[in-house]
Amino acid sequence: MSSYILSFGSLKVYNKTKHLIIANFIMALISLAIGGIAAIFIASGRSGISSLINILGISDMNYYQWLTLHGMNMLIFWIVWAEIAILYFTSSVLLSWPIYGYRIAWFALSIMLYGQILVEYSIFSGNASVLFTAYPPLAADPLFYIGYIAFLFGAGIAVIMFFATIYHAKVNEAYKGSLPLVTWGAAIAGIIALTGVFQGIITLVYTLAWRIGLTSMNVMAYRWFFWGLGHDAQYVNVVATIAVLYALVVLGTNLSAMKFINERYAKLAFALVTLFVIPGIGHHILVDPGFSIILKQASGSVGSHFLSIPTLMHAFALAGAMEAVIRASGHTSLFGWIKRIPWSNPAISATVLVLISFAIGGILAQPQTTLQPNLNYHNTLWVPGHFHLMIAGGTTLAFMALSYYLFPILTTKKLYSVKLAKIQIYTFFFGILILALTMTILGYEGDPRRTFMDPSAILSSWYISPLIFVGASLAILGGAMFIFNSIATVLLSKSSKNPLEGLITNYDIKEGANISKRGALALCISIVIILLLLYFFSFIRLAAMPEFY
Amino acid sequence: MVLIPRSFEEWYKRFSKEEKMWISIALATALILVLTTLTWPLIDPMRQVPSSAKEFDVAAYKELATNFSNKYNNKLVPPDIDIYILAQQYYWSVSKIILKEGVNYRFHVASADVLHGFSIVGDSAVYNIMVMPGMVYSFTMNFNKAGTYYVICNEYCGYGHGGMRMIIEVIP
Repeated sequence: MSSYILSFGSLKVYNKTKHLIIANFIMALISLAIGGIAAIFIASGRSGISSLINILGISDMNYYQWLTLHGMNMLIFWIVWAEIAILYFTSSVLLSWPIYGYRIAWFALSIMLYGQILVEYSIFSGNASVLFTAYPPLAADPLFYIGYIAFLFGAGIAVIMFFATIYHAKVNEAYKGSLPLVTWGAAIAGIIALTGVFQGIITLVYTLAWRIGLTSMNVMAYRWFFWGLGHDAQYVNVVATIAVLYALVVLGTNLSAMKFINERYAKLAFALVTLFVIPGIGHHILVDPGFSIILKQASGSVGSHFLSIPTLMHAFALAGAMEAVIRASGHTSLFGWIKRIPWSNPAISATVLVLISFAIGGILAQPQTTLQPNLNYHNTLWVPGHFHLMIAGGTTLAFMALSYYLFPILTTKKLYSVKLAKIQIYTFFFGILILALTMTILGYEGDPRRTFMDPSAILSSWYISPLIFVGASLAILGGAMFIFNSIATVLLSKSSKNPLEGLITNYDIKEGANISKRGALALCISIVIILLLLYFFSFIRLAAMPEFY
Repeated sequence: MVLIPRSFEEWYKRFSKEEKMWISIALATALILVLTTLTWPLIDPMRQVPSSAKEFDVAAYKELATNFSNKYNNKLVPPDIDIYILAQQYYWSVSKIILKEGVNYRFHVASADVLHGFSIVGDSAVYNIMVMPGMVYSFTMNFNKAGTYYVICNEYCGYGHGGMRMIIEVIP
């Protein structure tokens, strides 16, 4: 057992926990690397079939295979492995209690690994190019479904172990009082994850039964229940990301920001997500035949729009905490604190960039979840434009930044290169931003997603498509820097008494300073007004369309 | 507090004035979005998600689509004729149709095998719906601008997916 002293006391890191967290995170890194390699191929193919960029030999015979590999590794494997590492960290390390059911947690890891190997094998063998959604009646190798089920089953066990650890820490009085905010957020993510895993396993067992000929397939039922997994999994990401952002703001300011986060407010916002997340599934079936308009409006539109309440609440809590810290250290003007944000601190710069990413990605989501404008955006590149901002520019970037703090805390080793970490955050963010905005513009013109075709015949702005490759290359470079830095930290770095050196900005908090959050409030209000105007723009466009009803 | 456990009294604080204001703004934003969503079908009734979907018999529908294709492929479709389109891996049952500007046409779209997407792209117009096996989707369409529109498949349906294309020529 190693223990690590932060300025508020000691964190006990049990060796067993440490190994488990690092093992889960290494699996996450491997998945990210595989997904990143696949990204090179699909970005090269997608950037223009007739252009020089497509030198990797991408054709419609292998594009979808790479796309399936990319989708499974990024959306399922990388994110879930990383989230499980974070769940173990927030339960075991933050509560200073060893993981309960240590052997079961390793069993969960091996089941997940087994599932992942089956899925990767079936994709590589070319019999499972069905993309991550695997919509039947398009059929994949049964091994693909078995692997998918095994991975989800293992992930479900890991989430249960997270709750068991919290329960045992509580029963054994390892901590007094309430759960820390970050653990609380992780627990909300865990609850949503269990509902997603449950629906996912049901859907995929049904699909496997259909695949081996035991039952017939109801395509509509599949689409509804699959999105029970797909939609909930994305909200696990959002909630986990926000919990991580709170941790980053606090760690990056050497715990100074801690006093300025109203935990009751943040916990209320987390709780609201669970309330609104289940009714939101319907925005995936807005243009499907067979579902009633009332269901589409109630679930897809109304249910999904309410999800903006908790996310907006968190955005203000995080911006407000930053403002209060900077103001309390002596800068009092309304917007002066924005200039004083420590842009070279990876935790803080990542937090700001993730919030920017979420703001743009979030507003791009609104027309898609509104019944009529969605007719323009459904299944166009607009959709991946939106979710790359959420999952890559948001969740992935936040997890990357957290790992720069997580590894030093766990191993008491210094980060291999702090400088590389600082540059990496920006490289990755701008790569994803270029990629996502290009996709959005092309999608606006009607370029279909998940389609390998030459857009020059039908789109007027086809010539910007090579920017997809530019953005993807930058992001992949950022991903490679991150993987290198993480592995070098575990293998090459030396122990240090102050492993977080260079990753922290110290604030000299003056007692009685003016700590109002008015600047953050004004900033948030202006951003929301701009975003709402962008949302209404989608209706103006709709009014110029041909009539359809 | 954020990273370490604290007692209830320590973290359960009142909301500040800014926090209260922001909660009301977040609530108002969501209500604006919801009200817009709910009222827009009344404000713009001519651009709706089609609500007519029926289960169908593949063989019978195939005959309708083949008949339509034999008669009107690459020809002007009269206004009172229903347009039947069947999607299969990897083509549409008709390769080109010619329509009149400003005339209401009744479309029926269905799939013979896997999921497909029916996406009309052209001249700043984009329209996307899902095409499913087992369900025929029917809707009315009125092109208010002459020009060439492409129908592409935008739900992945297999290796030949990118080549699934049909043309709608709208003449004045």
